[in-house]
Amino acid sequence: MSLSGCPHVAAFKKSKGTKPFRIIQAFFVSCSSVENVKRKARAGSCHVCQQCNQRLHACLTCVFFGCYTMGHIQDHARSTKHNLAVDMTHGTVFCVPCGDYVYDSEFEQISQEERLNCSKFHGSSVQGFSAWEATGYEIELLRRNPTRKKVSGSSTIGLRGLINLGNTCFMNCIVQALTHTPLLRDFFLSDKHHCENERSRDNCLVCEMTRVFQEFYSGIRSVHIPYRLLHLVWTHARHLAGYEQQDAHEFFIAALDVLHRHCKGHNGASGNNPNHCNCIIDQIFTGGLQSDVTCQACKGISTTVDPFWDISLDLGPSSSSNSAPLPVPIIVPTPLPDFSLDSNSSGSSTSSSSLHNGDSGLMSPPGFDDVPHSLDDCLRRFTRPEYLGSSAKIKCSVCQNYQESTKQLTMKTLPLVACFHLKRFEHSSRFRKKISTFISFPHELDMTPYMSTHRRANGLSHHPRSNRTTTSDNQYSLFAVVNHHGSLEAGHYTCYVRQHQDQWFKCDDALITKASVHDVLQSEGYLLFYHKRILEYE
Amino acid sequence: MQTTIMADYGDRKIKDAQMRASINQKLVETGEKERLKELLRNKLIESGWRDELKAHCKEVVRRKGLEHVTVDDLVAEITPKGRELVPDEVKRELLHRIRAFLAQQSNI
Amino acid sequence: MFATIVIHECQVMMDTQLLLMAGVGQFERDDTGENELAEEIWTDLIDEMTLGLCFDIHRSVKLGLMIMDDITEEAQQEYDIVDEPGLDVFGQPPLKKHLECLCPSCNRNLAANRFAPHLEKCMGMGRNSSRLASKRIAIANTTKIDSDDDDDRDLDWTMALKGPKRSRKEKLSTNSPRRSKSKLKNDVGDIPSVSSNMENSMATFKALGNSVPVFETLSLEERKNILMTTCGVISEHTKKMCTKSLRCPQHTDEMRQGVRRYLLGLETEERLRHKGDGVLETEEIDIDTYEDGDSQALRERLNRIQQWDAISNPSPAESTSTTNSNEGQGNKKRKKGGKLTHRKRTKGRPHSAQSQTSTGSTAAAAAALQYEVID
Repeated sequence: MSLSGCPHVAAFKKSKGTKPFRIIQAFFVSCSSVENVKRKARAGSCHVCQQCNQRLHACLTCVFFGCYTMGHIQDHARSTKHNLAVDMTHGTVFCVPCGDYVYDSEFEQISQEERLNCSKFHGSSVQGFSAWEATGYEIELLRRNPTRKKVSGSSTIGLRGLINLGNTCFMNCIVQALTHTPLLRDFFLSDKHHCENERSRDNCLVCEMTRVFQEFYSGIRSVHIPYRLLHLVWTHARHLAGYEQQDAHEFFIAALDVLHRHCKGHNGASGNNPNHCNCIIDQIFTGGLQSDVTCQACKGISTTVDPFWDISLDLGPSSSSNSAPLPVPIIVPTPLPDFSLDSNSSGSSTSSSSLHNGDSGLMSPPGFDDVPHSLDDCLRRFTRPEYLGSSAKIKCSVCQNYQESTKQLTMKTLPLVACFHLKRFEHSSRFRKKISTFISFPHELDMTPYMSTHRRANGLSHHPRSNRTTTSDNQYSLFAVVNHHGSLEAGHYTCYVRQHQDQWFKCDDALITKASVHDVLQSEGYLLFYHKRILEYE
Repeated sequence: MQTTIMADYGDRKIKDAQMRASINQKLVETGEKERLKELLRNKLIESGWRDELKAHCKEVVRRKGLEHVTVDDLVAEITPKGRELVPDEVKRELLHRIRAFLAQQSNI
Repeated sequence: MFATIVIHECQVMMDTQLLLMAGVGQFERDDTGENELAEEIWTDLIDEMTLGLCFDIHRSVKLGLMIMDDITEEAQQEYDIVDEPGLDVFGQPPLKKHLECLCPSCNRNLAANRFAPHLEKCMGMGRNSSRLASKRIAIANTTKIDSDDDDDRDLDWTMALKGPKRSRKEKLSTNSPRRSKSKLKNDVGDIPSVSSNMENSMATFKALGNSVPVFETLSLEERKNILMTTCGVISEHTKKMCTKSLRCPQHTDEMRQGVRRYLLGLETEERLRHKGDGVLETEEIDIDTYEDGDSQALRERLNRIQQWDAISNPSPAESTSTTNSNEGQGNKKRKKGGKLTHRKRTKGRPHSAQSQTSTGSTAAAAAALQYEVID
C-alpha cells in the first residue's frame, strides 16, 4: 500500500481539491495564529453533544464537528454521504465507507506544511523535524533482503577488534574511541559524507572512516585490518612519520585535523578560520577556550577565545608524581540529583572569594600546589587564575604600559564531545618519564564550575545553584577511556569504550572483552572522552 | 427536599460539564494545552514509554494481520496500556502543572 | 400538631445537616472537583498521546514500513555478547592466525603485523627515509644518459622499477620539484639503449614477485649516503643492509668493501656471485640493464651525470643527485655534499686507492668514487 488514499479520497479531491483539507488543518489542527487558536477554542466542540474530548472530527465536506467515540461524526457521514472526516487533534483522515483511516500523499504534504507553520508560531525548538522513512524503492530493497541485524542492548554489533600493524595500538585505541562517539557514529552510518572530489575518494580519510564504520557495524566477528587508514593518516599527516610507538593523543589530534580538512572537501578551500567551518568534526569536537588576562594595575581584562579540540591537563609538580596510587573512593555513576553533592561548588566559591579580596600574590587558593587526585582537581588547576610574574609583563592597552597581570583560562563554549588529555608523559631535554599517579575521574561530569560564565578572573562569583536550567547543558557522560600501560620505552595502549548506554568493553587491539564500570573508573586514564548528556537543537 | 437535592446534583453535573468545556477552551486559548502536550511528549519519549507501547502495538498488528488492522483495533487495546505504563513521576509532574493552571484560572 | 412541628424541625435539621454536609461537600468537592478535573485533563492528554502513537503505527503498517522490524530471534542470538573467560565478546578465542594485507603504496602482500614498519620505509618516512630517498634518486640518476630532460626519465625509471603508483609519483614530485610528472609509457621509449633492458628488468622484477630488496632501488647518492654512515653489509637472510655503525662487529671490513663495490656499481655479476653475498643479481636492475657489469662504462656515465648536474641548477631538495663536490659546485650543494667532500679528504684506504688507480678516469670520477669506502 502506498500513500494513495482510497477511492473516496480520490473522488473527493477530484471534485473539491485539497483546499478544504488545508483549511481544516490550518484552522483547527495545527493552529498557527492567535486568531485560529481562539477560533478553535470556541468552536472546537461536537455539534451534537458539545463535548470536546471524544475524538472530535471535522467533516471535510461541510462545517460539521462530531465526536468519533459517540458516533456523531459517523452518523453525520451516513446521513449526508459526506464520507471523509478529519481528526482534529492529529489531522488524520477517516473514510467512513472504508471504515478506517487512509493516507494520501497530498494531504500529508499539507499536514506537514501546516505543522511547520504551527511549530514556528509556537516557537517550538524542534522545527520541521520528521523522522526518516523508507521510500518505496527502499522498501522494495528491504523486502528483497530480509536479513536484519538489530543493534540491541545485548548484541555485539558495533564492536570489532583491530589488528596491531606493528606498534599501532595507539591508533587502534583512537579508532575505537571515534567509532564509539555516538554523534560521529550517527553521522557516518547515515551516510552523511558526500565526497567532494570524485577522483580522490581513495585518498579521502573521511571516506575511509565511513568504511571503517561499515566494517564495525557489519556484524563480522573477525578482526579488522586498518592498513588503509594508517596509510591515509600518514599520507596526510607526515609529521606523524615513523614506525616507533607514537602518542595516542598526538594521533587523535592529527586524525581530527585530517578529517576536518577532508570534510571540507578537496577544493582547496583552506578555511583557516576554524570559526567558519561547520564540518561534523567541528560540530562535535570544537570548543572555545577563553583566556582572560587581567592587568594588575587597572584591573582591565583582555579576553581572547581560541578553539580547542582537547584539554591537556597538567598533573602537578613532578617531584611527587611517582607516588603510589592513592586509594580514592570510586564514584558510582548516578544521575546528578542536586548540586549539594557537587564538591566543585565549595571549591569555586572559596577561590572567587579569595580573588575578591584583591590578593595580588598567588591567586590560587592553598592546596592547588598539591598533587591533583581527580579530574576535577586537574580542571580546577587548569582554570585557576595564574599570576604571570614580574618577568612576564603584558602590555595593557588601557594603561598603555607593561604591567603585571594574571591569566585565567575558562571554557567559553563546551564541545559536544570533550576529550581530556592527562599529561602523563614528561619530555624534557634531560629526561623523559611517565607520571603514573592515579587520577580518579567520574562517570558523570559537571563542567559548570569551569565555564567562563561561572568563573571570573576578578572574582564575580556565580552561585552554582543560581541557574539550574543552564547547568543542565553542562553535564557530561564518560564514554571512552584510553590507557597507557608500561613505561615510556616499552608501552602499550588499550582502551575502554561504552556501548548501549551502560555497557563497557575493553579493547586491546584484536581482543574485545566485556568490562565493568569499576574496571574503567579504576584504570589509570590517559585520554578521557566525555559527551554531553543533553543535546539541544539550535 | 430530595428532589431539590437531586436537582442540585444534576445542576452541578451540568455546571461541571460547562466548567470542563470552559477550562478546555482556556487551555487551548492560552496555548497551555500545546505546552503540556509538548512537555508530555518529551517526557514520554525520554522515559521509553513510546518504545514500550510501540512493542505492544506491533503485537496487536501481528494478531490482527497487517491487512486488516484498523486504528480502532489499536486504540481499544493500547489505550488502557498507555495509561498504565506512564511512569509515576511523569504523571505527577503533569498533574502538578495542570493543577497550577486550574488554580490560576480560578483566581482570575 | 406537635408531631408535625417535630417532624418539620427534624426535617429542617435534616435539611440543615444536609445543607451543611452539602456545604462541606461543596468545599471538598471544589478541591476534589479540581483534582478530578485535573485527572480528567490528564487522562485526555495521555489518551491523545496514545492515539497519536496508534495513528503512527497504523500508518506505518499501511505504508509497508513495518517491514523494517521483521527480525528473527535466531538471527539476533547470533550476535549476543559473550562474557566468558578466555573468549572475546564474539565468543572467539584470542587471535592466533597470521593475517596479511596489501600495501597501498607498493602493492605488495605482507604480514599485517609488519605493515607499519614496512609502510614507513615504503612511504619514505622515519629515520631511514632520507637515506632511502637518496638511494632511489641515485638509481634514477644512474639510468640517465646524455639527454637534457632527465627529469622525466628519472621519474619513469624509478617508476619502472616499482610500477606507476600514484603515491610514489606524488612523493617523488614533492621531493624533486624540478621533476615533472609524466606517464611511464611515453618516456620509456626515450631511453634508447635502455628500453630492451628495461623490459628485461621489468620482467625479472615481476617474476621475482615483488621481492626486490630495498637497497636495490636506491639511487647512487642514497647508497653513498648510507654507506658513509652505516656498515651496509647485506644480510643473506633479510636481504637488507646492516644499519649498525661503520665498525659493527657483526661484519668484516672486507664484507663492507664488497658491498660498497657492489652497490656502487663496480662489480660484475660474476665477481659478486663469487663473493657470495647471496644477493640475487638479477635484481640489480640498473647495473644490468646498462652495461652488463662494465664498470668503466658506468663511471663514464657518472661523469656525464656530474657534467649534466653542473650544467643544470642544483635543486635545493634532498633528491638532488650530485655525486661530488667539484670545485665551486661544492658550495652550492647541500650539507650532504659538503660532508662527502670532507670525508673524502680525511679518509682513505687501500681499496679506495685501488679503485682510483684502476679507473684512470677523470679526477672528478675518481673523487666521486673515492668516498664510497669509508672504513
